[in-house]
Parts: sequence; C-alpha cells; structure tokens
Amino acid sequence: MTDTLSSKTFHFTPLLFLGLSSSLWAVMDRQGVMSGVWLLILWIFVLIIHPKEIQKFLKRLLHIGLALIAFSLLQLIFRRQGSPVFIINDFVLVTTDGLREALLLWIRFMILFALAFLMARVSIFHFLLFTNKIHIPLNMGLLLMMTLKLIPFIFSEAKRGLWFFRFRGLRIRELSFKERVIAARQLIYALLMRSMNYLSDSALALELRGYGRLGRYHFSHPYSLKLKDWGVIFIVCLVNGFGFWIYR
Amino acid sequence: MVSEKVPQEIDQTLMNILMAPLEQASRHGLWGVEAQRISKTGQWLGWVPSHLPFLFFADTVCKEIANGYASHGQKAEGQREDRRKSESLLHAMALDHLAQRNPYTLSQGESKLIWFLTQWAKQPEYLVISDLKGGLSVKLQDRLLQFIMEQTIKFQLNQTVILGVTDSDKSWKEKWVNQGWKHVTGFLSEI
Repeated sequence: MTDTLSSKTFHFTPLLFLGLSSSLWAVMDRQGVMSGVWLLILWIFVLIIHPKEIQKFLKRLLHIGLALIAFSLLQLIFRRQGSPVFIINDFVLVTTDGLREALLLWIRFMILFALAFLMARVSIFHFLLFTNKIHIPLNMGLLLMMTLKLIPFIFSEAKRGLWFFRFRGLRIRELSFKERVIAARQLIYALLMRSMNYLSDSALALELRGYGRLGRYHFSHPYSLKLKDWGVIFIVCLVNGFGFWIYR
Repeated sequence: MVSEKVPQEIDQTLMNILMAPLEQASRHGLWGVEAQRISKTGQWLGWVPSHLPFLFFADTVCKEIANGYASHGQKAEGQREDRRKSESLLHAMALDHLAQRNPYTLSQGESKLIWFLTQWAKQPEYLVISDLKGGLSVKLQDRLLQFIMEQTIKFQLNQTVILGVTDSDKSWKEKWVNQGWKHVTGFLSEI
C-alpha cells in the first residue's frame, strides 16, 4: 500500500462494488459462467488501472495460477458424479462434474487473487478518506487502516526473517526434520517480536493521529465520484443484471 | 578501515547485492538458486548493516550468539558448548550483563554490538561493518576495535574486517592506524 492519492485514482466505491459483486457470484454461481465473466472483468480492470504493473501481475498470476490449478484438480478425486470424460483401463479418472468443480474452484481462487492485487494498491490515505466520507467513526477507520497495513508488514517481515536466517549460513534443505522444526519456531518467534514492536509503534502513531478523540471528525479533502467511477458502477450493475437474467 | 566517499555507500552496495532477491518479490527470493546463494554468501561474509532493523531468533542474547556458532555445523540452535563460547565472547566484549536479556529490549547501540557478535561467531572470511559510528559512542567504537584486535591475535584468526567510517576525526583514525589498521578512502566496490 502507498501513502499518496493522485487525481487518476479510482474512487473506492467502484472497487467495493466490484469486490462485492464478484465475491457474491463466486459463492453463488454453480455453473461457472458468471464467475468466469467476473474474473475476466477483474483482469481487464487490473490491466486498465495498473498498466505499469502488468508484467508483475502476469508473473504472479502465472506462479499462483499454476500452483492453484494443481490444488483445484484435487476436486477430481472427490467428485465422481456426471459423465465420464477420461477413462484409463475401465477406471473413470475424470468426470464432467469433477472437472466443473475444479474449474469453479480455480476461478474462485483467481477472483480472490485479483481482488487482493487491486486492494493492495489502494493507498492507506485513500482508504481512510473513504471510511471518513461514509461516516465511519475515525477510531474505527484508523483501526481498519492499521489492520490492513499489518498484512503486508507481516509478509515482508517473514521474507526478511527467512533472508536473515539464511544469511547465518544455514542451508534449509540440508537441515534435518528436527532442525527444521527449531528453525520454524525461531522464525515465528522473530516474527512475533517484530509484530509486537510494530504494533506498539502503531498504537503511538494512532494516538498522534487522533485515535480516541471524542466526536466526529471530517476530512476536508475533496472526495467525490467522477464519471469514470460512475462508469464502473454502471458496468457492475449491468453485469449483475445480466447474471440474474440468465439464471432467472 | 574505509572512509567512505559517499556516506552509507558500503551499506547501499551490500544491500543492492544481497537484499536484491527480497525486492524482486518473487518466489526465487525465498527459495531456489537465489536463496542458496544467500546461504553460501552468509558462510564467508558477515555483515553489520546500518539501515536495517536486526532480526533476532532467540529469546536471550547468549542463545542468539550461540546460534551463530551452531551455524558452522548446520544446526539451527546452539548447544551447551556453543552457549559457553557465547558467554566467553560476551565477557571479552565486557557485555556479560546482557547475556540473559531479550535482544529485542536492547538499545540501538547494544543491538548493533550483539548483532556484530552473532556475525563474529560465524567466523566468516570477511566481516563488514557498514557504519562503525552509527549508534555507538567513541568509547564503544574503541572497545569494538580493541575486541577485534585482541581476538585476532589470541586465536590467530585470518579474517578481513572492513569498517565503514564517516566524518571521524583525524586523530582517532591515526590512533588505530598506528595499531595496525589499514586506512583507505574510496568505494567498497573499488576495494
């Protein structure tokens, strides 16, 4: 997350609409058509609003997407209903239902990934401004903001921890199982201590920014929906309407 | 002893080389060839950075340094013998009082000294202290240099220690140059 808000930034409302609609369809849809459509829309949205990060997005998509295909294919083992698709020596390996479930699960994961990618690029100030403009109390807004910021912090600290651990000259692959358990315990300990330090600093930072003050506080920064935001909201409503129409 | 032409040049150079896999935000930074390279580098290089918060993996200073000794035998945790060595190292540095303290409760200067000792315990071929003066008083800087000299003579160590110094006064540098330290001005990449 970044700490700036440019004029090109989308309002948080269309993002919220996108997130809610795609998540809802990912949970409700049993056929996979609407989930697929939402996944496509999210991908296009990512490409449009983050054109400079396309390479990074595609790289991560490839890594995570491939790993999750393997995970999703586990559905083939448990879903035996439907017509056989692939048979080896009279043993039905793949059925239509199993294949559909695997595909649906993969699409759900990909929707989650695309949403996480989009949300991770929302600036902290942007998010706080949004909560303030929809009249969420400042205390709650600040708390939500700090919680969101903790997630990337933990991730980066885990990576740094692993780096420092390796820099001790230890080759993790060559460690015995017992040593690996000890290594994991040490890493978790370091992560816990760093997180506690971070949280105590954050508590101080929150108080300095007005946490705990009585009454309501409104940011004077202008924050209204622009034409492009309305455009996204319109498209979201249109796709939702289309979805309800085909599944009526 | 390197007087840096550009302040923090040593730190930046090492950060660019060693921490790069972390910045790439790919799985290769955590696993694979890059990760193996970090482990290999860590075996011959010790580094006390000035711009990174130190990460400690043990709940006491004594255990943390012992873990440094244990890494020789590809062990994650130091045993009794390692802890004994660790205590003697702390004693040599006159830091016995910190032995049972949690490393996360130490001051900036103390953390730096303890991190230095964890790196020293690895006994690397090269040990780089990016910014000797950062967080350390002149008294502690002197104690650190004295410790390095004493240990090198006592155990006949064949180790190269590179110290980054900025804005140190001339007499202080001369004092240590007279005691056997070599002084150069320039960039780490050139040296």
